[in-house]
Amino acid sequence: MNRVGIIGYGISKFGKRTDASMYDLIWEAGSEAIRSSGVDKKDIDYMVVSNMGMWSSEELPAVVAGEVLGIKNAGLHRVEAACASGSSAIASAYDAIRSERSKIAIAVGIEKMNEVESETAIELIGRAGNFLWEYEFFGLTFPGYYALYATAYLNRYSGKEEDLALVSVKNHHYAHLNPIAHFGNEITVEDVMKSRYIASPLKLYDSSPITDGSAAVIMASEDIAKQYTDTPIWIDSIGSNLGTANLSKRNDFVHIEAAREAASKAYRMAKIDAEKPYRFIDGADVHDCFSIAEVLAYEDLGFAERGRGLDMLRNGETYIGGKIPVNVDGGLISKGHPIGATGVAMAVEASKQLLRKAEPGRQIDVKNGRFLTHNVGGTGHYAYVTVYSI
Amino acid sequence: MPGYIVKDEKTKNPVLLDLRELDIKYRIPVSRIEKFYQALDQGIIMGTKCPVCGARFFPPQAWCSDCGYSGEMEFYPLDTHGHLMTFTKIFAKPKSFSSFGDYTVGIAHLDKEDLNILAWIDESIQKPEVGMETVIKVEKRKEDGATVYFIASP
Repeated sequence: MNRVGIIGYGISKFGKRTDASMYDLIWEAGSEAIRSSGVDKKDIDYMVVSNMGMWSSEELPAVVAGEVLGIKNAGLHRVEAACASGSSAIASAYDAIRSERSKIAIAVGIEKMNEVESETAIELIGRAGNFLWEYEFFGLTFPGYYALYATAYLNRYSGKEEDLALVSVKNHHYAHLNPIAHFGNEITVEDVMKSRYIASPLKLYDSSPITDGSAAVIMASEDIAKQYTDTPIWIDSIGSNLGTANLSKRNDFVHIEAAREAASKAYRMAKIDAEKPYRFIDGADVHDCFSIAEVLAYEDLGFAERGRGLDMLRNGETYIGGKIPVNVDGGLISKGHPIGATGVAMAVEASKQLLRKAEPGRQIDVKNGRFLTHNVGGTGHYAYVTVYSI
Repeated sequence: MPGYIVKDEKTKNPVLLDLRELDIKYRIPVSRIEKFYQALDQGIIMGTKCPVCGARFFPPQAWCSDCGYSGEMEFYPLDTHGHLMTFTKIFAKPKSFSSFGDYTVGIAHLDKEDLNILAWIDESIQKPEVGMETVIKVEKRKEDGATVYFIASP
């Protein structure tokens, strides 16, 4: 079988990068990915760029990325799957290589969100979902969508806002060990509880920030990959699924069906027991755009039984040394969530962890040699679950 | 330094302040669901029903996503009695809602229709609770004069 492997990666510093343009960010991540892979950029024959756009001035970021990186003889397109755009870029490059349309591909994720002021960014991302029936008259925001899940979840399972705060405390802890993270400070439950409401019951510290950043990976077919490295990071499986545009068309607000289905497909392809997936993987990056989203992820991925996600947090089971370490890069909440770059950044993190190159204090124990990423677009509008291995 | 190069307030990094400005207002065609808006103006919320397979839809739509029928859908008034599934109060508002006060959005389940509706929760519900009984009411919203439906107390 013609496997597909990651042979190089790069990532920019995440944050409110008033010092760097979209071009600079693409260069930071893309040039590092190419350099670390050892490939000559002339041999890259396929390029895919994930970007949501809207808040940044360049309308065609994919062509910008090609020009910035000096890539000339590659097929090119841009992909959008909202916050899961990055994983869709990985999927697109994977498909191109598996179908033998490409031998060496580059996937670049880029988002420059701070070219507009926060209120406009809130406006633009709030429109992502169903504009006519959920935004035009009701002004739902992105935190608002997830807050609807949080209210329903806490009510159904008798959870407290203090429980959700534990997500942010854990992820800030690991972010402060990750030099590229947006935030570098540790926080307490009290800090989270004292922060202002954004969309009740979610508060500022329950939320991912508005982040600029870029990430890139070089991917190649198995025969080519082995010419460049003895340790490619293989993509074992990609499961993806869609969700309804209207949130109101979902049956309940205590799980994300698209993510559950994506996980089921990914586990089937990778021959992972969906009942106890944590026995087959060493760690995971999950889509914690808001604290509640990480809790839903535990359950949708089968790390916890339904309604028991908060217990994992209360028991510290998702710290390193626990049942399964989750978001030890700081997650979206603290590492930052540059929308189109996030899924590619997760691939970078999977690679670093499996190669045991994570910074001190946040390296997981690699036993099974597998790492999972869970990337949700919008509010369960798109979902990608990807299994990486070494 | 040219005038369009300004210092970022926090970091003091130089940024180019765009001289171009874009003001977008969409014109969204609604001819196939015009009946919905006509009824809304009379205080009635319409859903659509497929005459072939009986599937019900809200928001209203002019085709059947279930069986594939694309002829005339039946517009019918919804029985709006139901209960509140979830809610949130929006504090950090989008730019185009910045002149509004903080508002509460909810999703109500219409029990007899087995459909959900997302809308603002009106003032008749001071303390929303998951599971509480609700109806949908059409009102002229005081903030912008728009005719909209609200989740309300029966």
